Amino acid sequence: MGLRTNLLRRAVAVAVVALVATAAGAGGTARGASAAPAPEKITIAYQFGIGYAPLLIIKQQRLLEKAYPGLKVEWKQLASGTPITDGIIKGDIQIGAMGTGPMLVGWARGTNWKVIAPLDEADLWLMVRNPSIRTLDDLRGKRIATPTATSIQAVALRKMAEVKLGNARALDSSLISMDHPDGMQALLSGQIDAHFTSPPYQWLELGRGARALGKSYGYFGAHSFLVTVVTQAFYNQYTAFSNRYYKLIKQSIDMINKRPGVAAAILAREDATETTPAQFKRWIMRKKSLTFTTRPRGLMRTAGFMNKIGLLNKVPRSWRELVFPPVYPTKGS
Amino acid sequence: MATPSVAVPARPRGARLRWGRLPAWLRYLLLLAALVGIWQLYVVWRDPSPLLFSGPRDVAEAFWAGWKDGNLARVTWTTLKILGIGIGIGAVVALTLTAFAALSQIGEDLLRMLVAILNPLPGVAVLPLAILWFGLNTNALLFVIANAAAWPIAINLDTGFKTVNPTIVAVGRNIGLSSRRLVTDVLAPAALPYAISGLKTAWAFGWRTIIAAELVFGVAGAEGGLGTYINNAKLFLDIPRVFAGLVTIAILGLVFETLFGFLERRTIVRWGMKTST
Amino acid sequence: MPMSGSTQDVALRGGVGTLAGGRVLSVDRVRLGYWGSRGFHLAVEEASFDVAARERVIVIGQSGSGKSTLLKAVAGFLPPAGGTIAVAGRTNLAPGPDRAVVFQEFDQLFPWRNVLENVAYPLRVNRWRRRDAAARAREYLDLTGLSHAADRYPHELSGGMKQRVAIARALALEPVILLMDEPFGSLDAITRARLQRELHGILERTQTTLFFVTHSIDEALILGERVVVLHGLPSTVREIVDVRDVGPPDSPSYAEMRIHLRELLAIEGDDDGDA
Repeated sequence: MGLRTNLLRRAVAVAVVALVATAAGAGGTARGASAAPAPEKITIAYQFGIGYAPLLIIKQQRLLEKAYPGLKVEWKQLASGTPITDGIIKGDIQIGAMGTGPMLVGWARGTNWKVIAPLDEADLWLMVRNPSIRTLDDLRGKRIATPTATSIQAVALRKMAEVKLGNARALDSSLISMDHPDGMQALLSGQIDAHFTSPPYQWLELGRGARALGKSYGYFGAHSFLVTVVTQAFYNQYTAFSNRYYKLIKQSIDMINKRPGVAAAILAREDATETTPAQFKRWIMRKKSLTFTTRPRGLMRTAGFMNKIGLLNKVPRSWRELVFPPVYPTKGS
Repeated sequence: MATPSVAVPARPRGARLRWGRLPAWLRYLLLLAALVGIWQLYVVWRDPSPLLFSGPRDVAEAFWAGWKDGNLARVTWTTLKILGIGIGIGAVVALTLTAFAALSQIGEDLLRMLVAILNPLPGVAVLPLAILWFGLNTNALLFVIANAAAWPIAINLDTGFKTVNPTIVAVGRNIGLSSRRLVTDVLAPAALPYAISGLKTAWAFGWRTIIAAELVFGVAGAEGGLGTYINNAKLFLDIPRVFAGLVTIAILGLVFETLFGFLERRTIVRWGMKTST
Repeated sequence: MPMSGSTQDVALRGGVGTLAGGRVLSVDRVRLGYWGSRGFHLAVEEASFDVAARERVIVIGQSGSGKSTLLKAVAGFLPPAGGTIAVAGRTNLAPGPDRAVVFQEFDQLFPWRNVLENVAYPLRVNRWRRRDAAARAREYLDLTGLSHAADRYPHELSGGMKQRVAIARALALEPVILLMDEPFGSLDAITRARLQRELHGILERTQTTLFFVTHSIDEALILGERVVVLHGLPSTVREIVDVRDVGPPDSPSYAEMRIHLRELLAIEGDDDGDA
């Protein structure tokens, strides 16, 4: 009786321990392993502009919520890219939409993020209004507005300066940072002399008497404009979710390219300004200067140039270092 | 001569340990070293992300690099220049208004009203308006700084003029001073402690305003100042450089405090006129 | 404090006395008051007296008797409401260095100037050249026993020394008439007595015309040649007493005069009239 009691007690003890361990382990597994299906809550941050269209379609159509019932998605539209970068570093934002410039800067500095889904390629125009400004040289000593100092526009301007003026830094003292709406207003009211901007602002300025002094495609070739990034840690933890997100972006881009009328209607519903669906349709069909695609282009060229002029302290050996696996098949550059 | 024996009083606090007996500069230096040491310990122990926080070594490197390639010097000079000119303009405005107030009731009323309306406006809040009026250039910044500086100076000067000892003014009139010389030779030096106090406040407000304004403005004049330098460093996620910029601001603060102290020692302290710390 | 050696010149220079009838100051039926919160307050109803060249006239009265107001009017800070004040024949005068004032307050010196500059500066204001002003200032600092303190700043001086500087400053201007408004009123009794003696000696040497206001009978007797007694509310000149022949403080004539003046001031009981 004594021996069996001891054995019994020991068996119960082991069973309890095993149960507890399983419970703890199960909980841990649910939290930590990469087999986890999706996060419970996610924050997606983006900025203003037609370039974010694929993301906006996902938002309006609630595609993520449909794919993952119970998922809480918080959408944040911010006036500039800086809080998006900060938010990702701090962990408040999981998916961030930004230009390739800030993406590269963050990547080089160890934010440990990569592109999960590029959004588009865009030809970015340097707009001027004053008829007496005819060449880049005329902009010396004047005021040129770009989005932040890390933006692809700021990089493109340096490239233009290098090609046309022989010195990438020649116009540095003329640069001011302004976000797109402020920059457009400043250009049209004459407060600044040039505005290096992006769609749709450059088109709006074109319609109001400004003209393009230079276009970024002419210096970098066709290149990516906006991308969405997540951190390596997020990707590791929610691989399936991330891959699904990439597919949804691709899906939205297909809709924009194949059914622009429908896409335009969705965008108009999403937009807070008075832009009409017809206007949106016109914009998304200006394929020459704005193309929605998940194929990244010109990343290596941009990174190389940024490194050359001291804006980037690290260059990737291949474009694949900058993106996650779903993007590999697009054969980017 | 026989010295009567007196009970020696207890040594003052801190002097029994060797700390209180060290010269002031050494005490501050040691305290500073201790703080830096704690900073380094924190970095080593907690290992915070380099995107959020930098340790003393990295900051020192970034600081040294910044001075060596001239960038920190250049941006510091840009900021100081604008600050100096802006405060100068503010001081002239303040002097004019205060002199007018000292000489007439309507001047006094005007001064009070302007101070009540304009003093509470934080400099950076005025900046968008200033840009609208003056354009996107240094003039807008100068206006903002002048506004931040003028009112503390005016308030202090006004008090200074009002609290001038009337006996001294009577002496001035007695020895035959004209009204103009009464202001320059009697009222002005008598009000100097307040003028310095106003200048110190104006400087402190001006500093905060210019750094904040540079961030809002995007660029200070043709090239960036210290605020822009820090903001840019942050944009490029170069946190050691951000800290280096902050350290520069701290050092500048110390330098100017020393300069002010020097000025005070040569004037109002020497004359026994210092009214407050 | 013993007077340091000064030149004979200082003693021979002194108050100017070249005027009609030898009168430096003429106060003729003067009426003085000022506007307060309750309307016009009359301080002096009527006062008339003269001061001759090199004479030392003391005005005494109780507190509030208008004696300081009278001095301010002579100095030019306050226009008379009636009557005339003539200094060296001129009336309607604004404040000026010909009627240099020594005030009661210690802080009548400029704190941002040292002792020498405090004395020299008023001279430069009156068009003296820097070197000459400094030389004259040093003379008078010698006279008042302050040569050793020439580099010090007022805040480093004792009350008595500050008043000496004020006296030196006023005398250096070699005014037509020296006005003093209870200059020793804020000093302790010992310093006060010492400064009274010093002032007496200095004035003997410089022969400066003096118009001195006080409420101390003893001060009046030590320093004065004639004493103008102000009495009443508003005040009038009750009597002008010649005290030239009064003996030293321990003499009977002194005691008698003291009682007389006390009566004139209508002081009751044991109150000796000093602050």
